[in-house]
Amino acid sequence: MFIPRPDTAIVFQIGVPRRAVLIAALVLVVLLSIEFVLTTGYSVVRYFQRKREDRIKEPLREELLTRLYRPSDPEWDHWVNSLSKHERSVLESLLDDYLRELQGDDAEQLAGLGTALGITAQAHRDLKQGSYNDRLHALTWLALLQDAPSIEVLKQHCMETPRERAAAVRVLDECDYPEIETVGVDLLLSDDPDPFSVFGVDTLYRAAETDPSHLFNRAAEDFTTWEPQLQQQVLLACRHLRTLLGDANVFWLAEALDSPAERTRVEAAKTLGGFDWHPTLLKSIDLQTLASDDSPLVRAGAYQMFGEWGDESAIDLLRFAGMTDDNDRARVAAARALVEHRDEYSLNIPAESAAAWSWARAHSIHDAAIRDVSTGVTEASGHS
Amino acid sequence: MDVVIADDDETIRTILQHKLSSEGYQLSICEDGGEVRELLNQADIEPDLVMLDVMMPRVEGTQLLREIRRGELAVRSDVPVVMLTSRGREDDVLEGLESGADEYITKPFSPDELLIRVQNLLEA
Repeated sequence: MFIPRPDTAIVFQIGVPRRAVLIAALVLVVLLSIEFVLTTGYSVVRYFQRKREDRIKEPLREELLTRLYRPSDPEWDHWVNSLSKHERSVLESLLDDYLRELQGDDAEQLAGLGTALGITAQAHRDLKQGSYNDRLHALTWLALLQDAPSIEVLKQHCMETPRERAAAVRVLDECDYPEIETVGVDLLLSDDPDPFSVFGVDTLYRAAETDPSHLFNRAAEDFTTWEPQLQQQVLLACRHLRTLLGDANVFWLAEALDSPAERTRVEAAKTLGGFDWHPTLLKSIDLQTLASDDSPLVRAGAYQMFGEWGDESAIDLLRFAGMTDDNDRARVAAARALVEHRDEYSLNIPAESAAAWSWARAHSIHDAAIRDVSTGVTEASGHS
Repeated sequence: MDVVIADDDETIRTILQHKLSSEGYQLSICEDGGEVRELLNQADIEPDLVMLDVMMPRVEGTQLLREIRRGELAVRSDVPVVMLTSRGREDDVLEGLESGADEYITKPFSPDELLIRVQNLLEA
């Protein structure tokens, strides 16, 4: 450690007038006092506002549910007209809560309350004339009320950011829009799209869930033009899509294994794990090259993929490439993949992989034990 | 018919309470996993059906379900159990069914559909 000698130490001497220090301290004290008064005042106001809200919330909730579940017409308009502005505001928040949890006839019935409160009309107006935040708010309400605007309105007014695109498609999803697998995917991925948030990836998955063909074909055309992060997000969505693909182009998945972006190669390998039913696609992959990728993350993804395929040649590769991998994490990934197939193949485990194998095996046994619900297993396994 | 409901979300509890009580069910309503565990461990407890949210404070629904099926609680181990979970947590559905759930309801849900499933379970 370097310790400066006294003769080399630099000494700063700053001459500050005493009066200036006093004024600065005084200003600071005044500012802190103002902040304290404002914060305390705001907290007190909010406390009384919340108390007031709570006081009227329960009767409103009770009335809402009684009207919703009574056999006759709920007469939302009549009720809403009898409420004060403050009560309507609290009711709006209750409506938001209930619409998030309900589906079917009850949700449809409750959407009538949104109309009575003027929320539906306001949301449609905000989509065309509102600010960015107004539009996001409007899209959220329209999704809850299951009232889809026209595609033209969405294309014209709701494409500013990935978040807004996702919110627009989510409205279509909530409304069971019939062509969401094409229109929704195009809204999300057209015109040089940027990477999404988690919400956007989930929306992409939902849009393509019923028929992923259009998403796969779109990716076949545009994949290489997308940013690596967006590529990974699309791969992630595709990995979870289990619907029949028909004759959609899937070969871009194999090409993604050659991406210069490490995470894209990892996601591509993991996604390809679910394509063991496509022999032509599998044949197009150079397994040896993949298993010797420079990145241990990619190799671990590849081992997971081999494990999911589970055929003899994949298991052979796992055994020889995976178990002799010089990276600990990659070896554990290989061992975990192999453990899944321990009953199908007689596996000779190299000594250097014994620890990874035993860890993966112990994990598998523990996982099975905690899921076992047969009576008496608790005592046997020692869990309480 | 006695039904035990456990969900930490007040909105869900009030929906279930209104829907099921309007159909004549007697309800015991709990706000978290610990409370329902205590209730299901009382010697005289004999519900016809138990409805559990998967994610609850103190004890998760899936854990409670396993305890019920393993006979670790006073309630009978074959009592019909309906699990409630949020959409987007499909893994919970698989885990719950594996743990012995009789039915799974994904939120947001249709109370009419839930009612039919409850009635089917109780008639079985």
